[in-house]
Amino acid sequence: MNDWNDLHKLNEMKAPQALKERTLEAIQQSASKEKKGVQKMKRKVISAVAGLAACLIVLVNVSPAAALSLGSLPVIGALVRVITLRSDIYQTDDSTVSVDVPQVQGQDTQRVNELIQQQVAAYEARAQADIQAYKQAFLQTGGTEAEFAAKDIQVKVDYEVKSQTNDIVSFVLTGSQNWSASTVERYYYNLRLSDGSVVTLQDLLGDDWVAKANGQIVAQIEAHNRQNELDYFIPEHENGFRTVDENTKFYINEDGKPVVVFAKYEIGPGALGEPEFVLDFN
Amino acid sequence: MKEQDEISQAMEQYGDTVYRLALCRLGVRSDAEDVYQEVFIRLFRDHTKFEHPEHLKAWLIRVTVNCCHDLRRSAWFRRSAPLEDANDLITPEQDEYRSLWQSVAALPHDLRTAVYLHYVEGYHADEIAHMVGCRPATIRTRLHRARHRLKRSLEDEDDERLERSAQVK
Repeated sequence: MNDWNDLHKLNEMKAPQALKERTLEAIQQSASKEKKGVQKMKRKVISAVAGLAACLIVLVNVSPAAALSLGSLPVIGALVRVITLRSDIYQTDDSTVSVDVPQVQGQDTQRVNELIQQQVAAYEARAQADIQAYKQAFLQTGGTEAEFAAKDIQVKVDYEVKSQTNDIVSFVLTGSQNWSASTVERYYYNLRLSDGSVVTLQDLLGDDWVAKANGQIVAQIEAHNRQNELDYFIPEHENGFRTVDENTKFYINEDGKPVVVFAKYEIGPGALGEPEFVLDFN
Repeated sequence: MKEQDEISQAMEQYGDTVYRLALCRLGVRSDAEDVYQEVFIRLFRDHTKFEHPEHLKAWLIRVTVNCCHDLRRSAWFRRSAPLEDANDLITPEQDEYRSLWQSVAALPHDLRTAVYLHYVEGYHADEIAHMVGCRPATIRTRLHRARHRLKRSLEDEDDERLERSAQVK
């Protein structure tokens, strides 16, 4: 190449036609799947209405429990899904913030949506405080404003849907800053589509969920330690894994299995990243 | 959700830009194809009402940059070889573009987007900054660094050419 201006010739380069066709096909399949879902749901609603209409009035009037459980009908639940409520990008004095806030649509999801918005707002505020503290330390140790600006600090809040079935949605909300790995925060949500309530490990594994989960995690840690040079921490001496509890983070993968997640450094050296353990009882 | 006709039209108008930008950022054709699909699937599901064609194009570029960023951050990508070690994986279909791509691929990845959007798509620094979410000054710095690197690599090429012709004589 003789000149940067030759680069405009790249404009002539085309995306492969087969790629366009493949993508349109994928979109078409996705659209028809969603359409089928809606039609199926409509059919369910019609037959449910036909079947239930006669007895609903009676039931609701005689049984408060029946009235309360109406919100839990699977037909209503199937409407719930996760969408992007706010997709925003803005500048602060020292950073660029990009935010994608999820919203769970459906019955009884107001509380969880408020919680998500609070967590996002809190993270945005915390990120600015972190950056200010970092900047102060940077300037006090000989750095200049220009050098700090050149760091081009980015704050990002986004989410990823891990799985969604007719009954449950599982997603993770992540906040991160590009100047430090320790600023990553993740919040996991596992919700019933019928009423927005939280799915726990106990719901998925049964009453002896602690023993069951611990057994699998310890077995996987031991297998890992046998096969790899980089071991997980030892529980007795190094704050390694001891037990799961109500605060243990997890999501549900596409196979419907719970995946327990630990933060970086929580049970092993940083090089192991954020360890994940799939709990599989099949 | 958008109509399939709208997606098809957007693909015709801006699909090539999405593909080239993804290829420029990632350097691997299969990754660029994955990003292309992801971008148009997102467009299909998106509810944004685009005010004019340029608005749509800017949205597509922004989402492409984000998708490339997400792919680079993904566990799979982190476990793969770094892009800088894999420049030879860039295999555009047409040979005439190969040397152009190699020049872009030789740049660090943060300079590539600025170079691509400025020299290939013809955007100004302010517009690029808005699309990729950083300060215009950052984009100007990146373009400056990219030009500096190009100048150096051209000088090296000239030296090599002179050396080769001296050996022949």
